[in-house]
Amino acid sequence: MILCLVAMVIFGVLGIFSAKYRELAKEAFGCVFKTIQLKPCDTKLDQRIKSKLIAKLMKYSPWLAKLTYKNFYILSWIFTLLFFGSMAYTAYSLYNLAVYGSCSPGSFCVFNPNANITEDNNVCNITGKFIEFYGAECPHCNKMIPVVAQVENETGVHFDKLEIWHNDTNKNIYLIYSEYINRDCGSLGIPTFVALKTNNSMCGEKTVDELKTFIIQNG
Amino acid sequence: MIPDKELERIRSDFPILSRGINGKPLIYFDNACMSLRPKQVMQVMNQYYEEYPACAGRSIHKLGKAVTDRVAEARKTMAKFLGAKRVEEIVFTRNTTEAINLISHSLDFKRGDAVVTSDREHNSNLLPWQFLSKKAGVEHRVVYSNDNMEFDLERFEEAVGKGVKLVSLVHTSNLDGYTLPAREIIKISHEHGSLVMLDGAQSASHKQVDVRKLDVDFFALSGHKMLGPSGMGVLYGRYELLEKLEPFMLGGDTVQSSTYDSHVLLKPPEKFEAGLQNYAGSMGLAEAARYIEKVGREKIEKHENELNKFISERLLQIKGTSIIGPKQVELRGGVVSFNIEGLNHHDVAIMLDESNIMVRSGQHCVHSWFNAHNIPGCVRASLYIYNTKEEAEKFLSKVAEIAKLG
Repeated sequence: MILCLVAMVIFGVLGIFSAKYRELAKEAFGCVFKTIQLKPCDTKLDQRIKSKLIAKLMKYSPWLAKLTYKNFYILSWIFTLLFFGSMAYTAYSLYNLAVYGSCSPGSFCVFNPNANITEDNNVCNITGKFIEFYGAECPHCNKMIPVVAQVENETGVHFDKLEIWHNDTNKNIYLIYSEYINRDCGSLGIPTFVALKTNNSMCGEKTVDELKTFIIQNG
Repeated sequence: MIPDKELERIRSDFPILSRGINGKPLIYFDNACMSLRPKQVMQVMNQYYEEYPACAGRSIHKLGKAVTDRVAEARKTMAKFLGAKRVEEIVFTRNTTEAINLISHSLDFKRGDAVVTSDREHNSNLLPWQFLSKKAGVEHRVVYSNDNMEFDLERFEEAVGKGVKLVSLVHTSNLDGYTLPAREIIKISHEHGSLVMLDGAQSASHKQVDVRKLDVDFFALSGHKMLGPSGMGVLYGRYELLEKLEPFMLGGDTVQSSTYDSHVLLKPPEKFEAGLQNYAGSMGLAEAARYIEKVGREKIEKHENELNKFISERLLQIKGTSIIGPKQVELRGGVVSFNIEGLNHHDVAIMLDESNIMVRSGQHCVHSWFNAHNIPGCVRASLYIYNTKEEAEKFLSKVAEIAKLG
């Protein structure tokens, strides 16, 4: 049964490309379906897979073939667990791909092989904190609300949002960083994004990519 | 054994042996299930479809006449093949199973009658009697083999007493190739007033069978185990017995005439051959019989048994192997049924198949024997006219390799 379950998935995928495997996938599905219904699976598909595999192994290593034959049940369970483990990992990778643009941020991703995989653009390595200074009635700040939300959603990095036109405490914090903001932006203004780890800042309306790059470079 | 040159010529008649599978040669050791067909058989069958694809017996035109003549000729060939006294004693059936069922349905069994079988019957010669037992109250008696798996005549004499209407036995067992002592069995049965039917599916194609010398009452065979077409078989029956039997299937070609409320049946064999028949099959079957006769059944029997001897001796030298059936290979014809300790029989068969060596695995339709002996199944290598010593060597070498897994 366990072999049929794995065979169903593997042959199902191979069946996309070959009619031969489609037939086997159908047979495996029939076997799994019968087992679910508590009926005996009489196709002997698992036995055929096992014996054909052993026969092939025998050509290369009789010792390995014997070991496999004797422990086939255990081995098939191990492979099944590995199989489902890898399926889960693939699902996780696909999730990463959808959320972060890379199935394995910071390393090679089969779904996105052309992606730059340097350490610099790995959002997962970000440890620094970020502040967005804004004013309640500031139209540029309001335009940035969905942009910031998207960046936060895609990178997992959170901006502490401090209103400075009506909140003096926040304004005082803003003034603490005024030296760096003046340095980076040429004058004081909002919206302003400050990286606490590097004391670098960025002002005005920005795109998602600009904001992401800022995060990666200063996080 | 059949001399190499002749064997080579025989093998050249079987296209699949030279073609192989995916260009690789095949070793066909599943002859007890189904034999291969020589091109002569296929040619004769094609000839029917190409040259005279018409009805026999019914149509008066030229094509109908050609078919009628050839079917009659086929019947004559089969009568000669079995040593029947009259051509009319040959009834064409679909196979041995149908022939046995014909007898089980047509013989006038009454409550209290008994049928005797052996303990290694194919389901085809077991189920009809079990069914009859339930339906008509006919007693079914089984004669168990002795410790060496030979037929026990003493036990048989005890079983064949009063009330036994029919003794229905496998002539040569598909389980282990053992041939029952038919002549003695028939003699004893007749002394007790019982009729005898032999399931000859595994015998007529492998050894000389003469129904008159055997004095058997009914004899059944299948075409597909004797180089002939599948879906074609023969029931031989002594004419006076066939005359008394009621057909179990009725329809076209079984009656002289009919009114809205009655009919007059034809004589045997026509009254048993209802509906349009497998004409190409009967011609193919006859051609297969001619082919076998040309080689010679004694020669075939000897060839198979010598190959079996070669295989059995070496097989037993492989660690963990055991053979089912009598110890003496001479008693096991051309069948080697075996198991390897620690290995499943289906696994062994699939692994052999990976090397294009075709054997059968399982219980070979003799479930009753396997269940009684608590054996899950076995691997069966069954030999025939075209098998060679080289093939046997390759088979043994592969089995030895597989046995190391155990």
